[in-house]
Amino acid sequence: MPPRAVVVDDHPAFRRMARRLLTAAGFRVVGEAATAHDAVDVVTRVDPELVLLDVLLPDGNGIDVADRLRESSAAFVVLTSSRTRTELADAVQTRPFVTKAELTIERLREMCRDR
Amino acid sequence: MTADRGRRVGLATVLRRAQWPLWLAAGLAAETVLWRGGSSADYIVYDVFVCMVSVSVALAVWETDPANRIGPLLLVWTGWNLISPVRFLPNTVVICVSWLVNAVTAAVFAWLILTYPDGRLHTRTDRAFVVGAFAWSGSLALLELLVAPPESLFGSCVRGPCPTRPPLLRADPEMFDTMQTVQTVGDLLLVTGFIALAVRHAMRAGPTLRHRVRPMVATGVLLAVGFVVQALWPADTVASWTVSDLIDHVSILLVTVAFLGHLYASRTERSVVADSLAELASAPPGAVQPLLRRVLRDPDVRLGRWNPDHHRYLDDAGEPVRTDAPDVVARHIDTPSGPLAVLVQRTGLVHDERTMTSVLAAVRLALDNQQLHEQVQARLDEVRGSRARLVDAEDRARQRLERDLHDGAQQRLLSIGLALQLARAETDGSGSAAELIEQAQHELHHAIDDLRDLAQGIHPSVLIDHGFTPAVRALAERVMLPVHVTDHVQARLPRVIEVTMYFLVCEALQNTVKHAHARQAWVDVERGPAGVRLQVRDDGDGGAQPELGSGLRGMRDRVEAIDGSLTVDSPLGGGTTIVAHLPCG
Repeated sequence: MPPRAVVVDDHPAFRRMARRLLTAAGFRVVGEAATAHDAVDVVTRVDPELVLLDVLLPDGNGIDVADRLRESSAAFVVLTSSRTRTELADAVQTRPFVTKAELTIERLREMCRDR
Repeated sequence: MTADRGRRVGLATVLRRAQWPLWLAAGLAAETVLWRGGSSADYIVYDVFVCMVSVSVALAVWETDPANRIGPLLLVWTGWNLISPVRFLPNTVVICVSWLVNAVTAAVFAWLILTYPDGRLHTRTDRAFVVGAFAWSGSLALLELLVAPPESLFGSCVRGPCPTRPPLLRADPEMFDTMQTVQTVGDLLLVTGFIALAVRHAMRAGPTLRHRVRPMVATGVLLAVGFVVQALWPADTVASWTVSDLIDHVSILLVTVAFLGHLYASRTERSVVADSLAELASAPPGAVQPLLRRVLRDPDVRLGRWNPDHHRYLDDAGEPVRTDAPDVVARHIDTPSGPLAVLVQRTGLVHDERTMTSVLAAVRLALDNQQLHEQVQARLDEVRGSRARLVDAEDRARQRLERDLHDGAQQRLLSIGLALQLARAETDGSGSAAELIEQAQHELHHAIDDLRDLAQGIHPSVLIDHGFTPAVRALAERVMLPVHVTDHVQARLPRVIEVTMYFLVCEALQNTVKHAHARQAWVDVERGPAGVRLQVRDDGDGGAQPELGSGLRGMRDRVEAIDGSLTVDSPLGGGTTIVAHLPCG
């Protein structure tokens, strides 16, 4: 049974490609969300093993969503953004983070392995 | 219009001055009557001298303040004293007219004293008294003319036979004596009333004019006493004529001296005012009224500026200034476009017209200056506000552009990157297709980096999200130069300040990298006396000329747009130091 994943991003094209990337990496994408509000809702409902979560969402901050999910879900949350860690300053701190430009199947697997 | 007015004033002045020789000629002609009647030459010279001096003073008083009634009143009184010997001419008409004029000169004098110094009768009692005095003196003299025996009217003709009675008049010595008695009693009552009103006039004078009114009133009272002495002295004796002459001359001298004092005081006052006109004309807002009070020595003078919104005059405190209150004199300062201001003084405290004209001109200048200053200030504020709005609009436009790049092109490129990655995974990692995909991925990464740099250059999101120091640290990572960032403020600053500081650092570091051949650079932020002090320096070649470079000149404009200041110190070989002081709350 492949591990289940949820993609949270407000750009549909990116969600579509991320879904295929996760599938290629061995995950089964069981949900998508475009907003912070929907993200909490979907993740709470489907309880995935992995959440690929964009830092900048239209209705809030992905980091706040990650904090909320930590209370209600055991999912491994990987933050992602088109901005670099430096540009995001200390916001992502030591959380699992990968820029969208560096998001690869290998990188995902590596992060899950190092979890 | 001004030239016409000036010509009219000039003509009036010429006419007033032309009176002097006319009065002299009239006086000499009148004295000839006395000389022919046997008066001594000494007496005549003395009489002409005293009376001409008093007429000269009257003309000077009139000249000093042409609009003031005291000038002509004094001239009437002194002028009659000069030409009064004509009453001894053997001519019925001249004698009758002289009789009437002589009767009302005391009323003229009372008017003069009660109206001093502004030429206005301020109370109803004063006005009633003056009218009553004229009515009493004039009507009684007229009645006396009707019944006076010839010897009473013509007894003192100096030459030839006295004229006969006019046919319509009927001599009645008894009636005439009765009238004389009634007149004496009435005159004494009038003198008493005059003294009372004059004393009240002196007491009511404010501190500004007290020193001028009281000597004049004292003179008037002395003259009134002299009049009483004349009235009560036994008539038709040699002694009575001597006493009468003496009192007349002393009176003329006293009044002359008093009005010489008036002229001196006016001149001194005008000099004091003239000295203060420049100060008054350049007075800042709010200082005009206090200065006016000092200059005019009038603690109650009020200056109201026309407020078009309220359609009334308001003082500096915003209180309405009434111009229709009783006992006030309002002087309006108008412009072609409408009313400008009004100066309100209590009656009795008003200075002569010429002084007030100068004061009003200075006030107009001061208010014009203030209005101009306010207009310039308003325009300056408008320009400042407009410049700040332009800067803000530019920042927001940059932010929108950065957001559009991030949300649009950058996201599509990232999605393409993922697609290429998936496509490459579909291949076995070898062959021309895999190689092409790898090249495309490589180029795509460059494109994404370029786009990110472009977006960050347009408006770094980290600046808005996390503030100046993280943004500068992110910037420093992209600059091919070690940059040491020290932030002593450690707090978020107003957005416009942070954005200005950031782009200033961008420009400075860009110049450093391009031109300075520096090994390292420093960015320091600290609290300044009125905001934030930002310093960017390098250890490069120096020699930067901000006036020649559009980048730093643009930054200076931007800094000044938010009321900041920028200095550039760049000695040759000594590195470049740019310091900006930015206000922030």
